[in-house]
Amino acid sequence: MLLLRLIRFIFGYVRFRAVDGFPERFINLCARQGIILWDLQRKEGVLQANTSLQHYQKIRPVAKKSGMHVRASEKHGLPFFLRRHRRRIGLVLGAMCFVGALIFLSTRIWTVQVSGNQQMTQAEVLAIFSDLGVYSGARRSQIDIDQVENQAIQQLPNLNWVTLNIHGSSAQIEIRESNEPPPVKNDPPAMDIVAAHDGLLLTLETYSGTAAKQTGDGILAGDVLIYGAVQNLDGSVRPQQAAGYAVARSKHHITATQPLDAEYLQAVQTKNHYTLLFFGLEIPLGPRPDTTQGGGWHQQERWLELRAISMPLGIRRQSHTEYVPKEYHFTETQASLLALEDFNHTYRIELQNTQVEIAAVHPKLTDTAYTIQGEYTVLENIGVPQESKGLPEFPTTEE
Amino acid sequence: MSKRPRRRSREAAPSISQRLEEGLELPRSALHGNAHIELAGNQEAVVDGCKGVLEYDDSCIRLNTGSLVLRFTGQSLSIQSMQLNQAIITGTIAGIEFTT
Repeated sequence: MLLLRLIRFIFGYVRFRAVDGFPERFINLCARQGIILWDLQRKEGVLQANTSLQHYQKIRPVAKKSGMHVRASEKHGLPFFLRRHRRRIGLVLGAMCFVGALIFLSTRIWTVQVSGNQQMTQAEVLAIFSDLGVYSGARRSQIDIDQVENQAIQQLPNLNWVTLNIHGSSAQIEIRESNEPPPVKNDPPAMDIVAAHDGLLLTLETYSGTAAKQTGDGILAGDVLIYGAVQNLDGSVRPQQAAGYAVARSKHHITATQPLDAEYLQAVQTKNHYTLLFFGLEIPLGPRPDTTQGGGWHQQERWLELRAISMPLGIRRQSHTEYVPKEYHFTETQASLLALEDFNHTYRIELQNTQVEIAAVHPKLTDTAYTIQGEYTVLENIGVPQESKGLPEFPTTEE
Repeated sequence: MSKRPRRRSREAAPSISQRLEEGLELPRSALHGNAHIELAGNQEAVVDGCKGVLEYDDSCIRLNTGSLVLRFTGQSLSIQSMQLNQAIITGTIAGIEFTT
């Protein structure tokens, strides 16, 4: 029925009123002449019916023969619509442009989607396929799918499988990356436990390896605390991963300095330049502004999305910000706060996992800077693993 | 010699098309040319084999189908479509009469 209505609308139809005469004879003559009538109604002596525009032109002699007076009451359909708006050329041209654009755009690729990538980024895959002719705006008929797939496999050696499907105006790329074999794990090298700082060794627990120091020894940074080696009964030495726990008393100095005078760059002006991106075309929206001062261009692209699918229509914004150097003088309070923040940050990093025994903090203000100095005596696990630089020589045991 | 018994009531002799329909077991009106009527409840009636309209009114529509005259009675009756051999009657059909 919808199709019938559409056809009647396209060719146009007329609703007419017929009075007087013999309605039954009129209907019969119309049927005999091949004039199709529909939606006939008779009320209060008036016969109303619909007929096509073509048949309405033949209805006059039939009406005359049956003695009826026919008059069109309503006119529907495309022919009447076009006649009413025949002077609106823009409407017709716009409709033609729309249809033409639709036909043209339907021959192009609108979107390219990538799936199955895990290590490779989407941009990398799209760049490769763009070089092979699969990109937004490309002609569908010019894409040889088999050739593109073969070339993609050759250019991307870490791919096991790649397929390109084109559904309508959408290209879908599916890839499967190859799994690299796990690296061969060699035996780990021998590791010593060495001192990270200078200090006085208070506790040394050896879990594996051979102790090189004793409790109470003074140690310097880099001294071996536990050798990554063990002497066998026959006197030979075998390498091993040293493990242990060494607690020492050490001193730490933390200094934070904030200059009172600082130079910074102040943003003066930001200039934007917009470019319309449409099917691979770049249409600048305005002249590119002149940039006299330093600073680079920052670029950002946004694409139209429909149902999470990126459309081939977007806008690129390029921003350029100009900076001028400025000087700033901090007050004592500001400088002290900044120095304290820096000091606390260093304190948290350097003295984590330590036990502070003695602490002394000295703030100092000079003409040029605000300085905070801290001296800390702490207990800490001072041992850190380090790769052995050779097997040690153990004293030979004499029986 | 026995006489052939006379028919008491004069019945119409079956026509050749009717005999062929019975003999070949064809559907009725395949050769006979009767009207074919399809009813959709009491809202719509499609009449194939319609030869013309005899009466057309809001409450009564009479159609000539050749051997029969169909009379549709009801309310808000209208002819939705009228072609050479087919008519579609819509409305609230209260009754259908067949008149020879």
